Amino acid sequence: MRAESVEEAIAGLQSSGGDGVLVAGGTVIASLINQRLAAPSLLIDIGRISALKSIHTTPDDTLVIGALVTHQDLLRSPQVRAHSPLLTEIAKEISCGRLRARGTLGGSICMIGQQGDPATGLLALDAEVDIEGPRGSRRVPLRRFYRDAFTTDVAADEIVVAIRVQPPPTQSTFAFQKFGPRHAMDFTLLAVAVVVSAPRDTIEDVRIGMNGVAPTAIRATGAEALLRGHTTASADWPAILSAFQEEIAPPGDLIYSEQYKRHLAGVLLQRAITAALAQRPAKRVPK
Amino acid sequence: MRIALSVNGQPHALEVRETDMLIDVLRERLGYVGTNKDCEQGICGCCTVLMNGELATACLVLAGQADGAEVLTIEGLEQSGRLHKIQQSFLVHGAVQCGYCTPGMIMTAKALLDENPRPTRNEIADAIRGNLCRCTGYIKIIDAIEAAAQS
Repeated sequence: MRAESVEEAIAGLQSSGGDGVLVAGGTVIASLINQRLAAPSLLIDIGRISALKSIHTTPDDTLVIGALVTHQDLLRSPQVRAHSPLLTEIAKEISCGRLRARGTLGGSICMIGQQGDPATGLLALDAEVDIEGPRGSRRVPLRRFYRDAFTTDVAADEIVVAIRVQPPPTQSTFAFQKFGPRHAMDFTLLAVAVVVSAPRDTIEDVRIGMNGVAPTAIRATGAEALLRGHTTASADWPAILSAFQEEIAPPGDLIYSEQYKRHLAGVLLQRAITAALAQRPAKRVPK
Repeated sequence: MRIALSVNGQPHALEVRETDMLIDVLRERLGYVGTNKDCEQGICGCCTVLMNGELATACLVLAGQADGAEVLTIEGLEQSGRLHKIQQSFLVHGAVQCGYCTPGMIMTAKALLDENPRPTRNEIADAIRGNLCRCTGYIKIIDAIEAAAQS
């Protein structure tokens, strides 16, 4: 069925008794159908609900991104670039043009959570997810959104409608690093996004979002704690990386061992923090 | 369910199943066999078409999503028997070997040049990052797109 509104989508989900699948860009569910890995009893096409396609900034400078905003829209949006350029940077390296044109931010955080790049930046920006359903609307911090691999905090009769991003701290810089077997077109093996506030070189605030190191996308709070209060020179990287290893558990796979991923995750983390610290904060005038 | 779409300017209406994909509608139902099908997972790019002016992966577009759409396939680039300049450039520059990736490459190139008429070689390479070619090694494909941009 095609849902022309959020209400119709919710009604469709309720009528399907938990087996209905929302179709936004549709790239993930279509791939699963093609591989005979999914046979949903009901496909609910939400791709034309224009209310979910907007990008706007509220009077208190919150960036609100509709769930159906595509990676291409994010990449091209001057509002996103002005408010949270980390998200622009992440969108640039997702997949390729034809998939960026279809893949949506809502779909990415729901369907590809622990393999998707945007979740890392959204975690580092303390984003929130707006969800609607028959029991009303609710807002969930993205940090609480991922329950475990493939399970998010969205009930079978609910729909993600928007992602809300507060502005990064003034005087903050950011970096994004990812690694996969090829330069493009693999599900990213490891991705890290960092937002660092270090006026006068001392790290006052640091937020690290990572994917590929745990069953879900995570904030590396152990590493964050050991970075806070330090300068580029005084940061104790052996201690930081040791604490970091305690809080991650990357699964070995057919190509890469757990040990390799652990080592690589530490390398990417250090590169990202170093890159962020090496930048001059962009001048940003709050609204 | 019934869908209606236009392909290369021609209107079509047909009954489809909900899980039919655009690639099969194009090839099997409507006879537009210029677009190729391979991985069916959105990785290889050989099924790339333009839908409502944007690049789309035809193997991952559900038939219902194509309802009401304007689709442009490789067959639609030729005008009055004349090849599009990108098609001509691919032939002239030896950018076609087995030809399987070629329609997807050309549609991707068309979208690139429509948005960025004078891309650098790096921009061309980045634009075709989602189109696999097993034959040519990509250099002549980049040459062909660069030359088409300059012509």
